[in-house]
Amino acid sequence: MTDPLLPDRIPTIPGFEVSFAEGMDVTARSYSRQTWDRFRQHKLAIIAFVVLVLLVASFWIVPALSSLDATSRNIPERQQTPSLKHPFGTDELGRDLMIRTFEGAKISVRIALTVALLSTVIGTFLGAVAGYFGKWVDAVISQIINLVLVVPGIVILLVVGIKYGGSVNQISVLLAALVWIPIGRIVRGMFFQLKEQEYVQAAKAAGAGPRRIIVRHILPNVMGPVLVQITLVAGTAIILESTLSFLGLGVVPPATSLGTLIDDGKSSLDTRPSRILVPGGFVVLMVLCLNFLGDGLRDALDPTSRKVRE
Amino acid sequence: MTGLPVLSIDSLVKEFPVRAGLLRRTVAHVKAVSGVSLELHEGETLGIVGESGCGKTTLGRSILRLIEPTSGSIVYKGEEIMQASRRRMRELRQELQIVFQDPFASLNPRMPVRDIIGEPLRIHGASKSQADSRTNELLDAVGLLADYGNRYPHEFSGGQRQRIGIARALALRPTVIVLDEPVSALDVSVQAQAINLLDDLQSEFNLSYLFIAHDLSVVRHISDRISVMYLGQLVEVTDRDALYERPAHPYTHSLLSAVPVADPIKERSRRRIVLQGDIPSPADVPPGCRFHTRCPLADERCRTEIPLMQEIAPGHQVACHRPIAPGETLVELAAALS
Repeated sequence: MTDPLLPDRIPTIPGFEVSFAEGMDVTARSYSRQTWDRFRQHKLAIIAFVVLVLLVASFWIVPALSSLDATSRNIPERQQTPSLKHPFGTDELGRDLMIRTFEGAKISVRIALTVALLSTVIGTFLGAVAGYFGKWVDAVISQIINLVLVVPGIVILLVVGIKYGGSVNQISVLLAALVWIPIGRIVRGMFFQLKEQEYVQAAKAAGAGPRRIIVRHILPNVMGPVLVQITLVAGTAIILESTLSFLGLGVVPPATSLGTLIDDGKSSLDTRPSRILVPGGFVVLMVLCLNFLGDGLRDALDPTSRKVRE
Repeated sequence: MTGLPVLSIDSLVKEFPVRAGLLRRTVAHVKAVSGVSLELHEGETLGIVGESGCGKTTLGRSILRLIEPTSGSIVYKGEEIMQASRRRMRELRQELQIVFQDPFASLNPRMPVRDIIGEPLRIHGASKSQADSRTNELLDAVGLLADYGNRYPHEFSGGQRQRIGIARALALRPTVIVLDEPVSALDVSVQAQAINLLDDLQSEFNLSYLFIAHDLSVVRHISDRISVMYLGQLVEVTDRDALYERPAHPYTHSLLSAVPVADPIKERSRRRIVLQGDIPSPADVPPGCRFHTRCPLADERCRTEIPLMQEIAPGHQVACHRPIAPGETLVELAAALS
């Protein structure tokens, strides 16, 4: 370099050096690996994830280790405030509230998971079919979506809940039939957009059929936003289940859920607000964790927030 | 250029219906491609030039039936592919391939490069190991390291990605490749590399190219013949040199005048012909010659009568009522008229 003003290397911004040296041994980071690397940056989401895992684990572990169970009555020890023997106190039949809360939370979690799974399957399938094939297929599915959207969910839940409420499976199916909508709409919209992408055209030019295009080219690019939506759907399911059970249309005794516990506790609101606050707190904590988790996933799955190779 | 053309297209038409209202009735048609006929010979590069929205991309995709043409005929080596069954079409896709314009959108971000290039092979029945070894060959052919196969598209630059797209198009050993503005998304320095690569590959594999571009300077280097497209129709088809030296259509003249010259003195004295107005909407094409709304030479006949493609010199076809003779310039002719 003769010109003193010109550096012999173009200066680079620290952290943004990209090296493509020939023959350099670079192990490729797969897409999921990169996503995980980005997710790790999101502290709140990590905390939420850990809390959620611990919570759910405790719902199963604590009742299994305890000598108490959720249903045996013990009238002499009824209406107790928290103590060592009964950390959450007892109810009006002397049943241990901690075990009841954990057993109830187990049911809430089971419903949330079933609803998340069912609505993902329904939403992804219908959304994919509508978005990929368009035309009358889309018209039919879109009208179903609009129908579910315009009818107030709570009314359907109340009406159908009275007739079919009760078993955990029935409630799950009922809730899934309502909450798959956002997943279906997202998948449909993304299919509409992605099927015009040049890489889909390229696959067509290579001779790929609709199944290969949907499964190999479009779905993997849709799953990110869907994953985010699943966390929100699971949260919604927990809240809706509690609502239903609180109204007496959900889980029926002797089974309990967080919603029935709140319902049980409402009569002693003045004397022992903890009977509502504790199960309510679990609901809030789980939904909050799910939402934070969703936030973290949203950021992690956004490829524009790409992080430089370490 | 000997014998029968590899690919011959006759009166190809693609119209997109415009639907409106509650009942989705068809209210109009966007005439993207209106009766294009062309021939592509073995080992030849035919350039197709036209401004944005003239239908060149639609033409390219219609030829591969990625967009189903409305009517017309596409004959590949004597076989009418407009009538090919779905199964036969799949086989034909091995022969006819495409490279897309956008090197970022044309590679699936979720697939490693090895799978992207190997996919056409896998679809047509190659085993994983066969596909992998062919992929390594292809990476080498387009000047990338075999190690790059494990990486994902976002780890590459635009030029490298376009090489990957080219490798994918080559995978099935095609005879015809539609290059849909393969370099217009690249930097000028990278464009040259990509063009040279395409040139080398053409002679190595005896490929025929249909090279779609929007500016004449890029096509000049690679094309044997060039056709100029305006609003869904070809207006002039001729040998490369004839087009640059003896352009006959007023539209070709104006396109050529827009090519910058790499000489500041000449560039300053260059007389550009700036066309008036925008390209008309393909949903509402002008009657008569489609170019008459912007042509400085248009007269009454141009406004009413559709000009047919006619041969003004051997291998030089023009669709114009008032072709410009060698030696005349559009600027002077227009000045004389007004």
